[in-house]
Amino acid sequence: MHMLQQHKSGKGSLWAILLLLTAVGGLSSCRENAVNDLSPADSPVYITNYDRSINFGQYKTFSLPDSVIIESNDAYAMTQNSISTRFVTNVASALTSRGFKRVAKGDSADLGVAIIRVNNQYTGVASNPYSYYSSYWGYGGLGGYGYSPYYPSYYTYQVTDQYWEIQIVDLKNRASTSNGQQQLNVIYDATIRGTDITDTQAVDLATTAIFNQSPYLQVSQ
Amino acid sequence: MKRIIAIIALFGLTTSAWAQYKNEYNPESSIYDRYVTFNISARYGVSFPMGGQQGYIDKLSPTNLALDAEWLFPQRFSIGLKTGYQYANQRLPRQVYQNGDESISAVQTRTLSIIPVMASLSYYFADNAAAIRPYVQMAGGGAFVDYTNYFGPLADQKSGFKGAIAPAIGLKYYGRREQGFGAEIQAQYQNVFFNYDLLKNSAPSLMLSAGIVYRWY
Repeated sequence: MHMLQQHKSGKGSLWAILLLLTAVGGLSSCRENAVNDLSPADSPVYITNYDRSINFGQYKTFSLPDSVIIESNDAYAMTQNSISTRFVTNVASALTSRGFKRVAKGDSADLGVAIIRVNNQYTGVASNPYSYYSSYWGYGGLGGYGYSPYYPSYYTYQVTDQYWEIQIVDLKNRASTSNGQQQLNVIYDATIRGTDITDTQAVDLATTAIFNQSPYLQVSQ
Repeated sequence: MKRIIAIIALFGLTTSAWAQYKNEYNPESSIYDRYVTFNISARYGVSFPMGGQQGYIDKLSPTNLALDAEWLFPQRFSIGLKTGYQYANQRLPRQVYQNGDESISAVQTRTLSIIPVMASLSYYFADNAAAIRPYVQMAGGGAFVDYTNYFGPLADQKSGFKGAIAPAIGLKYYGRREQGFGAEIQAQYQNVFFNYDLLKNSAPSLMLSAGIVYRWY
């Protein structure tokens, strides 16, 4: 009688353990799915930074080419399409609304504005596929960015890095290096990360957000 | 003489049978009261963030699972192992965050996953075979913690194995004495000594859980 009971209970607990393991397995995928439902408007990350020693009120004019720079690893090219045109138009109108005046191509200006499409690819062997991001976000509290300890120590990876960047360069105050060459300082930088921009509507959202979080881009009255 | 031996033998046999009968059906001498027996428990819980964890995620988490295994000792106490899975997340609408000199505009999805690995000591206010068994419990050990704060789809992640404590009170209900299957409710305060960026000091929470139990020998 007891033998039979023990046998039965042994089977019961085995089923219970199997059931529990299944439950744990199902739940452990929670974090992986955390951002699967992000809408296209919620996905982009807009990062801006500027030179704190600069008073943007001193600049009056800016130069902005009609095409954007394509940066692919270390090669540069120019391009023009509906998205790039939208970028140029939006950035130009935003800067104009802040009091800056756009000059014709070739005329001298206080500021140089560059719209860059970065298109980089990295292939290699490393212990951490996100090491590029670690160094990118390295300054500040976001260290260990994207690091996951569950990957094997060494394997081949390929990272495709595509994003948009807006740079503003100081053409008014050009520093000279020791060998007499002139140096242009980047005084403002904005990058659009997180997701690629595929339509003009996304361009509008991006430029609106970027200029809203950069109120210091303003000509002094 | 033969008759006397026969009577003694008969008496001996019947009393031993009587003793067995008594052993099996007298609640005072249940197997649970004489040997180390076992109990497993699986519960679903809701968790409320407290203290430093509220600075990171301040809403209730409905995704928690608790698993306990216990060795029940006849003296109304038990030693056990606790594990489970606790997951909390919260999405914040687009906001501009400062990171050093950088301004970052992003939709944050904050997540916190905890897998506790703890040893527990419980005291029961009823014997091991009882139908209703209220208890107090103290657990200590560690927990695997994964803090992942997504900026859009980009992750700011920190994980590690950290120390943790978890005092709890609860009640096991089996319906009748010696029954194997039953139900359990528990209130557990848990403090994981983990901090990173937005999660300051440590990660305490209050978890209310309910589920099924099974005891056997």
